[in-house]
Amino acid sequence: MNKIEIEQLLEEIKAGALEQYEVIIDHYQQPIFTYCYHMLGHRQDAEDAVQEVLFRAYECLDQYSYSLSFSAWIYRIAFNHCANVLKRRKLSRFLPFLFNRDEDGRNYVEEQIDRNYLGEPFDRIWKRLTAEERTLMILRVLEEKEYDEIAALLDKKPAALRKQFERALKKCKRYMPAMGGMADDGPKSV
Amino acid sequence: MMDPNPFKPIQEMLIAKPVPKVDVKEKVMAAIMAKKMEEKKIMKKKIGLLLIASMLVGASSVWAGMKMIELKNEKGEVVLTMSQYTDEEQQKVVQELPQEEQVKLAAEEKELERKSEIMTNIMNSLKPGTTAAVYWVPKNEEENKNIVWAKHAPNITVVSNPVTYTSWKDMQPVVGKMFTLPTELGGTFKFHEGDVYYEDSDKYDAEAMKEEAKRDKKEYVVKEIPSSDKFDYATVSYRSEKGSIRAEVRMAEEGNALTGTNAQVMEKVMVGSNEAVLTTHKSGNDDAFNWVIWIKNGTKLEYSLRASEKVASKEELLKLAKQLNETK
Repeated sequence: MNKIEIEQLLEEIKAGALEQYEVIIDHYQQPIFTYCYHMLGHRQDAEDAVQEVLFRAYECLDQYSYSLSFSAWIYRIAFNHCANVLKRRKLSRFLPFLFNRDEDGRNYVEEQIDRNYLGEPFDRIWKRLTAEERTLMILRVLEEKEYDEIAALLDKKPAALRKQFERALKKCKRYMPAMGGMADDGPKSV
Repeated sequence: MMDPNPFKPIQEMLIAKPVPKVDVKEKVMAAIMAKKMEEKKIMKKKIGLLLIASMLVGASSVWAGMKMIELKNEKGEVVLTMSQYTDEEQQKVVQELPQEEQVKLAAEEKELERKSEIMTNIMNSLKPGTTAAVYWVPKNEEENKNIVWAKHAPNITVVSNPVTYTSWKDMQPVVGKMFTLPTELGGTFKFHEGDVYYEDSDKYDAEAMKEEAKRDKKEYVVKEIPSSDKFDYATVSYRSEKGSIRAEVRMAEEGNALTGTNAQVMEKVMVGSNEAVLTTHKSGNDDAFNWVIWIKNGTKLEYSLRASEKVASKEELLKLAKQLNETK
């Protein structure tokens, strides 16, 4: 679906054609799920997230102003949602008494998540990336999106993102021998 | 040599992890439909409570989200917002509800009318200038918990029988420090009679009334209570051979006064240098009547004037409103 077709659909939905939103769901659910799955590293959390994102997008449709592509707008909702989930998880590490844990105080759910998702050694790297850095990695590395597009959804300048990406790669290098020296060389082709 | 793909290890690892297929369409659509139904239920609740709301809180928040007109004062500050929600629109919402909800709603409205009649009788039985608090035993304790009682303790309604004055000369000592009303409007409409209402008194013992209702197994309990001395509003009818018109002056809400109308037509007009809203009401075979409302510049008083179109046309009403506004 191209931009014009999506905008046409959105106009119809705003005018009351709710059934057309099913077309939007069909188009976006898998890419958004993929993004959430990599962000959160947990299938059920990612499924909950994609439902929440698509539901919230419909609810806030009147606020969508076309100044941003719909794709960037919906990814931004997904990013905010995942960032909040990650923040809550991080908080659960530092404030264990606020969250459900086993009798010995260990949060097994949190420990399981990343290990089952990618396994060592990626687990070590992924846990250390911020929500924004994970987004950069997923969108740039996996989905091969351009910096301009990622910049629109993260509301940042492309040049700043390029720098941030370089820093994230350096961070990865520290925890992953297979990437030794790469970031220090200055990944100009990135 | 520069690495052609410096992030390859990460890319490989991300690709290596297969992403499951997902289909959440049904769940998302179900959630959207459920939300829409919930909104309809809230709307139903609002309509169901409309009579009570207008009786208790002057119909304000129940009108949120409808067509609106904002009135500004001479400083450009918004002083009144009028929202429109016509009877037809309300009816349309009701018709979209499931049949059993419509039946329930109709029963609630009938019940409200019955209670309203009882309240009118209580008010008429009071001596002029006296006040009573009425405690109604809630029929459904659970549903009752969801009602927000804006002005009074839960299930309490206060009614007063105002003092009626038959000339401005008699009424002036009571309200004259706040505003002045003309003895005639347009040369032909003469001051006929005026009532002064005060804010609802809160000198009641809700718990005692509740106890009494429980003990004596009453549907409602009425207690005469001391009246408040805080001015709320005055209403005056002016009469001519053609019929009567009614003027009202009330304390405006602080800041932006929110109010609602079920009029068919709502338009912004000028009363002298004051922005005003003119509404036209028509129901069944009755004659249409027009109602003009404004906040007088430099004051915290809300003025209004209304008349049947048979008695005064829109243009005539606006001329009379200008005279009312300029009376010093």
